Amino acid sequence: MNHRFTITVARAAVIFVKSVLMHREFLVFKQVGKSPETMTTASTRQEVIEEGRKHLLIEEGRKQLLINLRRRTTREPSFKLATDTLNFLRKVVLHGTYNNLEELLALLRENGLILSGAYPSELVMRNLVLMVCKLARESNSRETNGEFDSPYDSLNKLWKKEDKENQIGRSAKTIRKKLIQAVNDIQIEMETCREHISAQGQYLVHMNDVLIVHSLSTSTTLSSFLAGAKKDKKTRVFSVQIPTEPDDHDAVSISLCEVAGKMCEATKVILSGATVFPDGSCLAPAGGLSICLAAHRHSVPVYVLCAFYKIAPFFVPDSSAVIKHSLPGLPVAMASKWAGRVRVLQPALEMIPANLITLFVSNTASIMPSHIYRLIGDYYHPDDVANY
Amino acid sequence: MPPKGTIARDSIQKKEDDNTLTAVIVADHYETRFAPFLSNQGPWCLHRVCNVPIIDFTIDWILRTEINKIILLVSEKNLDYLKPTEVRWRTFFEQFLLISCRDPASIGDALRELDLRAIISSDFLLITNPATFTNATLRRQVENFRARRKANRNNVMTLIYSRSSHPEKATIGVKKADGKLVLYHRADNPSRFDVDKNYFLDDVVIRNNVTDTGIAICSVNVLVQFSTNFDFRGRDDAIREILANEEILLLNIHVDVLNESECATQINDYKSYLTASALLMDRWLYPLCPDNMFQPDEYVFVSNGQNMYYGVEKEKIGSLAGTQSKAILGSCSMVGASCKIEQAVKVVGSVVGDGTTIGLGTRIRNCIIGRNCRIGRGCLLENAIIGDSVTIPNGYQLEKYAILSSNLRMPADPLNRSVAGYALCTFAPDEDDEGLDFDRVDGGFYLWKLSSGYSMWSKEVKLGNGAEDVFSHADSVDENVLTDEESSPETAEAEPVAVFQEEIFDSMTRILELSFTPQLMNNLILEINSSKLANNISMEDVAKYAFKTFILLNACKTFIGFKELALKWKGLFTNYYKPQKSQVQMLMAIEERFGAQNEDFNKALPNMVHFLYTETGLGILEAPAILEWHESLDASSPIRTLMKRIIDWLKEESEEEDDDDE
Repeated sequence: MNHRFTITVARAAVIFVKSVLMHREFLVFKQVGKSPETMTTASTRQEVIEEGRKHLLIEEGRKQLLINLRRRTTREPSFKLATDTLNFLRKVVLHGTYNNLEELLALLRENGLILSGAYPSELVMRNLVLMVCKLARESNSRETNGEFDSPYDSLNKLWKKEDKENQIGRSAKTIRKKLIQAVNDIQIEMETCREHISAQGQYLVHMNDVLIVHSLSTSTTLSSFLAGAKKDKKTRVFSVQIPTEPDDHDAVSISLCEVAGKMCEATKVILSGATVFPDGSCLAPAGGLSICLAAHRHSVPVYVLCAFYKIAPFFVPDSSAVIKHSLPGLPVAMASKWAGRVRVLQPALEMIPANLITLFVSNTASIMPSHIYRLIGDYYHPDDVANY
Repeated sequence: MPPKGTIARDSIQKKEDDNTLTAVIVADHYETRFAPFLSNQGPWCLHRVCNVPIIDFTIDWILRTEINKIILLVSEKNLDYLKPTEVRWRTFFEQFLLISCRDPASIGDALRELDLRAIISSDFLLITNPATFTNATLRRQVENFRARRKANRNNVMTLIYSRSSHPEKATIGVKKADGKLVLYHRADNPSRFDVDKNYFLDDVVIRNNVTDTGIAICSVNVLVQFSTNFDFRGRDDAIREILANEEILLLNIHVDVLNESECATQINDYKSYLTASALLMDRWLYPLCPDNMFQPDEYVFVSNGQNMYYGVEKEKIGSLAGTQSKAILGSCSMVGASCKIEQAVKVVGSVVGDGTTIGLGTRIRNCIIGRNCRIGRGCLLENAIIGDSVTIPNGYQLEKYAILSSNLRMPADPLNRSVAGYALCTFAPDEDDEGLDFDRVDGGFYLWKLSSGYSMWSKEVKLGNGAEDVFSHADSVDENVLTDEESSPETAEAEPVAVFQEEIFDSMTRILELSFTPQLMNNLILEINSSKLANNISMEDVAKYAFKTFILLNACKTFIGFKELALKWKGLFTNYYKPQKSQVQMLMAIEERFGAQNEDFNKALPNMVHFLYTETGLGILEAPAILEWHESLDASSPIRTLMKRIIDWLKEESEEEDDDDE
């Protein structure tokens, strides 16, 4: 009796698996059916299925990225997010179906919008999509006329409609190859970012400096920067943290309310930035603004560490939309009494205006806030930014 | 000795040594309260909280635990509704199974079906209510469960409790040393249980500062319990069975409590529905919150940092421009995508569904409004649940605690009946639905109610017949907090009195049902005294409210009935109304009851006082008390005219007495 039962179960499982497979194949057709042009270009059934499979591959990749983001319970370092996003975009370039630059850009844009729709506050994702878009244009124009000139080089060119770019690149295959190469270059640049920033620590921090740092335990860039500075310089470090954070051995931990008092002794304030905007303002972990204001009062220079992928090419008119809020941080016993009646806000980030910041320390150089806009031309194309 | 099946299953399990955890979610809800929203609209788990299907929230938090396999138990009729959910979430898990059960009548039936098919061979997370939300990752709880199971294979179940405060706190008894559950609350009232003295001798801690999250980690033995006992309906039955037959089954249940920062909640009625949506929007369950939920084909939200959420139209997904709405959103509120909202609309603590239109100057507070509704201008909606495609005319003021099911078209004139605590529908309840009654109302509506007499709105509120104020009293606590402008210390103080009154009302009605004996009267006095102590009520208030409740009783509706019962319960009155002060309170209770709406009572008032005074009647009241009370009355009070004859007569009598003395 029992045996027969298991057999029926097994058979049922086989049928189930089959039906799932059939359903999948059906899905493939449905996806392809959406765009009639692809139906005409791909002549045989085999090719249609192949294209559908690739389409699904991209979709799966996107889902996987979003799942991983959903699975996290706390904010991860943005380096990891940037790497994941770049890996996904590489998948899009590799498996996407496109015949010319426009189609590729549309594809990148479509996927990018979905990503940033899911996580509007993760600006790093947006930055990377736009960066890859620019690289795509670059590889295309190298393909067509051998040279790529930055549209930022001349102000007048901004108004000119560039038609040469719209020419169909002779082979999508070459664009693909070149672009993958470029994406890999970015990947390498990202990986070496931390090293480069920490190397600058040696030059920016001087003997007997007294530093005030914030959110040391969550920012690996900041700790490696300090390590770089401490290599051959004697410094004192005050780390601003909440009492529950683990202590760092090399730093004296102080609470946020002590900052104003300690500022008299300090010679530099070093923060880690989350996003830098073209006007030189930036988003930093909450608490940063009050430290910067204290520093401003005592004329202490403020350095903000930011990797290149954190430089955003656009302004955000309403910063509240991109600042993530998290758990109220109070015992849950209050939850059902307070929910809907008491507003408890716990923002993760804070906007720091440009005038409070002395210098941005990026991987390539140290930049004044007023010069940040110059970097934007290196990484982004104005058309992409405008259309995004 | 454990039953045979357990041993066999155990040995198989040891061979496999399968350590993965599967989540078993019972997708159907067996709560009759939700029936108005279920006909032709799919199962309750697809109903929306914060404009997101409930099941999506549930699966989303499971995603953050270590669970990789999900089994959804669904009744056959709802299977097709859940297919899209399966497609949406399938890729997120190693295994995502939809299992259809043939007409399950309870959670027990669904679990029996699961056991019959022998799909589960490892431990599993049992979620019997699909609307169960938490932000805990359960890592520690699962580890503890495994460690306990390793130590003893008969540690079959861990119930997870949270520290969140909930009015309906469950009481449990737990062994201090290892968290073993030894006492479980009663089925009829979660705050009470039966306890033996020897439990106090063991090291048992009785806790009522925790709330059941509805999540349990179980081993397969628990399923066997359901298969061997065909009458089990829910999880609680199995728990009670295991506890009651501890010596025979040798199975143990443990309790694990979430830590301070981990929140959990369930939806059991409309009140908790509102609470859950507020908790989600105010990020108490972060990272489980609406703007982290994202399905590009279904729903996308942005928040503006002040816990206000806007639905995003499909073509605007990902753009930074944001969706500016004309509505003045208060904290903790949400407006769905493609809503048309006119100027000066105020939305506080509420959820408005996609595609709803709201007219100029309407105020909405603590409501959940469905999709594609049309709400007129200048309406006032407070504490209400409104289904999809409901039309509300201009200037309509909806009663609090009203439940409007889908596709209603409210008439311009207010209904001739109170709908607070009832559900208003366009159709009558299904005959198969046990426990539901209905009344017909003008305009072709059906007013649904529960046959148990409880309010549709909340589990804790009973709708009294003839004593409607019981409902408003029980909820007045809540209202004080909600309408912050109106809260005054006076009403806050009224709370224990209301509880006291409710308690003695219950005691009295219960005694009325039994045949009368003098011993019963002593019991009643005892109960009143214990309620007095429990709620810290003064003797004067006892006198006032005991009598007030007494005249509210159904049996006392007519004067004759009142006379009969009063004579029968004479013991009660002689016990409480000896001092003059108490007698005055009794008269004040009568005064409070006096009013325009009950003519019969008003007419009978002098007779009642007379009856209470004379020796042939009850002989409780004394002349000085009546006179004192009479003097305290308003000069314009209509009671004065009614009482004139008695007072004159009393005065005469007392004068005569004085004369006699001389």
